[in-house]
Amino acid sequence: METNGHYQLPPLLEVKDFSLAFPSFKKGLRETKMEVIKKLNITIHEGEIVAVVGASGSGKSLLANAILGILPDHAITHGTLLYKGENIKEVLRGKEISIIPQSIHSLNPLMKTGKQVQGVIHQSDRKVVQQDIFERVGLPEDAENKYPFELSGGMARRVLAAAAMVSPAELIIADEPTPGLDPKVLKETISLLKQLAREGKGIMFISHDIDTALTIADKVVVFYKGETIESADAAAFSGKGERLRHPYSKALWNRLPRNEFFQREKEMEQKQQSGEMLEIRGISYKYGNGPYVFKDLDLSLQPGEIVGLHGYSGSGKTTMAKVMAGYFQPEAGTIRLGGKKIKKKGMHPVQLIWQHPEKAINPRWQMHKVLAETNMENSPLLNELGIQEEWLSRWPSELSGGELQRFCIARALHDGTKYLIADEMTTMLDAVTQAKLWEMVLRIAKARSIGVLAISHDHQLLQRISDRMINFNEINHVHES
Amino acid sequence: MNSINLRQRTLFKIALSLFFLLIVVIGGLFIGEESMRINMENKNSSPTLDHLFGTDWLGRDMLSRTLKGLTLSIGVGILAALSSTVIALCLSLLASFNKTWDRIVTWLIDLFLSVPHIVLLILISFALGGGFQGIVIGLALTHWPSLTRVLRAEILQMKSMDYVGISLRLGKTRLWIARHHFLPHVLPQLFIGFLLLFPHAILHEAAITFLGFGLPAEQPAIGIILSESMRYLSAGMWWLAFFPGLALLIIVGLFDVLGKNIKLFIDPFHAQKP
Repeated sequence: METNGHYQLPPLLEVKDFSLAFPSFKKGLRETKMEVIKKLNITIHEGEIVAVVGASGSGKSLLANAILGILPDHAITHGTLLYKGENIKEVLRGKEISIIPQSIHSLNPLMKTGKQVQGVIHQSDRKVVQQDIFERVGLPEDAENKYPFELSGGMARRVLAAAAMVSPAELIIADEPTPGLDPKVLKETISLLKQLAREGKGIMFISHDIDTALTIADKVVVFYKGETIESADAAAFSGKGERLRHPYSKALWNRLPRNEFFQREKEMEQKQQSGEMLEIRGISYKYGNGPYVFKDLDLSLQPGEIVGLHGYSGSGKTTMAKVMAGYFQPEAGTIRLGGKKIKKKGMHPVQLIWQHPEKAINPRWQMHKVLAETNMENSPLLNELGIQEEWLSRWPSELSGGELQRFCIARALHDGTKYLIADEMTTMLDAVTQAKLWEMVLRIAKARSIGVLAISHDHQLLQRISDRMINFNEINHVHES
Repeated sequence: MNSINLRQRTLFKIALSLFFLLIVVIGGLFIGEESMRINMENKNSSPTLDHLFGTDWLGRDMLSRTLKGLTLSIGVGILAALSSTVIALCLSLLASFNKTWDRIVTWLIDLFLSVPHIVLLILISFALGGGFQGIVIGLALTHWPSLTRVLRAEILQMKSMDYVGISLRLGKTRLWIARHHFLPHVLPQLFIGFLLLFPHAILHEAAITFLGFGLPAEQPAIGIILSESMRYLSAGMWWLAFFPGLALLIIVGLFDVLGKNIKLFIDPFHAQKP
């Protein structure tokens, strides 16, 4: 504990045995409680960055909401939340505790960014303070007179961070501020947060991505199935994780693509396989009258081959994936499967798996209906993908992102599927789930001779899984003309 | 925690409002002509134990007339609101089909909204020869536009969802998507739309009946009772308008409670919230 003069200061934030539940109706009229957070303990001192790491859907964001006092009305909570040794009150929000939200949509679209940041400042010389902070976070001078939609994603994130920095808050909660950022912006965001910590603020960094968490945090709290199972120094995550106590946190570390990941078995190795080749010749695409997203793009996939496509966010990879899977019509060029054009009607032989499984599944459908879309309810594939019988009767909101993604994979691997495009399939998932999902997909792909195009910004991951790597900028000829 | 949970409370409220509505309807159906007979000896009597709602200027029992009228009004309201909702659903699904159909439907909505309800209502109902049938068809054909507009917007928004695109790529037909994606999504809106249309329909029925294009004057519709009693209000016979008006208000309120609780009951995402 930090000492200050003669007495010990209480920690900035202390969460003791916190639990959170929602009432729910399982069957008929009996009311049961659904426990989301069971036993949670976190301590954050001044000037400390604590990362909270856990699978998506493990209740991390709910914890942030609980600290800010913005939980839904019907939530039932127990345990203590102490701020500087006292019970947390709602009045603290904004003054003592502030949040860097997950999404840049939290900015008001109809208000200039400079004004939005000024709104947080409680001093007289608002404009000066705001201009000063914009300079410090590296925003150009004219950014304050722009609306959020005129800024790039990275710049909008910096505005959000600036708003958190100028507020007098001493505790800052950063809720997944980094997903999908390219390395340069990621580095900047991290250095911003570190700067805040150096000024003596406590920071809670919520993330599913242990890799990023380790680069920034002093302490890592691992969150699993609603409990804190480990609270370790960042340095303990090294080697083979011998200094970690819980098997899950060990797995979380070891399953990173740069560590052990998973063992490729013999049958996962590349071998000559028969089947129809997917050939893409010179396709171009643009939205409306905008500039070309990509031009004269060539790509071919062999059956049973795993191809990694690497590129940074915003480079047009997703648009290309959608064109290949038949969502958009290309402006020019051809897509042929075994020398023939793909029919428009019926099940498309090229299936796309999306980054956000919760958007790819109708929230009003029970899970068995999702599988019924492609008659996969009784497929032996479900076992292979680790989908449990009991999940079939649940609603999508009751499953985690990793579990939902399994359903998306199962649905996409119907009998007519020849090729699979995985667009950042595991970006939103934790390392353990990521390794598990790729292991399953690889095994199924090799067994059924399905070609897989894996799209990601994560170079290490692609290197581990693919037989062949392609850089998106090399095949995209849009900047040459 | 209370001894009964939210879901049980919801069910209880649904049962209670259904019960009251049923009492009114059954009461209305079983009251014969004789209880509404003209009885000049006992005319203009204020509420007594024999005649709880009093009697009118012909000595007819107002309680029986009110119940009978309510039953008739509920019938007209339900039929008209239901057919309006069905029309709205069909047109909004049609609008989701392609751009041409969308334009046609929006044009129709604008056309119908630009003419005052009551004028169209009179035209249609008059052309169909008036009476019960004329008024129900007239109401159904004039009350769909605003609901259609809401539903169309909802469905257009749904159309751009990722999971709808996936279903298309999985070879599902538009009909399948309409049935499995759109319909469950707009069901709550349909319910609310139906509920909002119901009092509207009853009031318009009363209005057009008052003007003489609707139900014949001998039928004890609430609209007729109310418009007739207006003439006697200044003579101090308050009960003629007060009780039937209050009863109409309660019925509309009951429908509101019923709709809200049914929505709570069928919607899996709001069932837990107070």
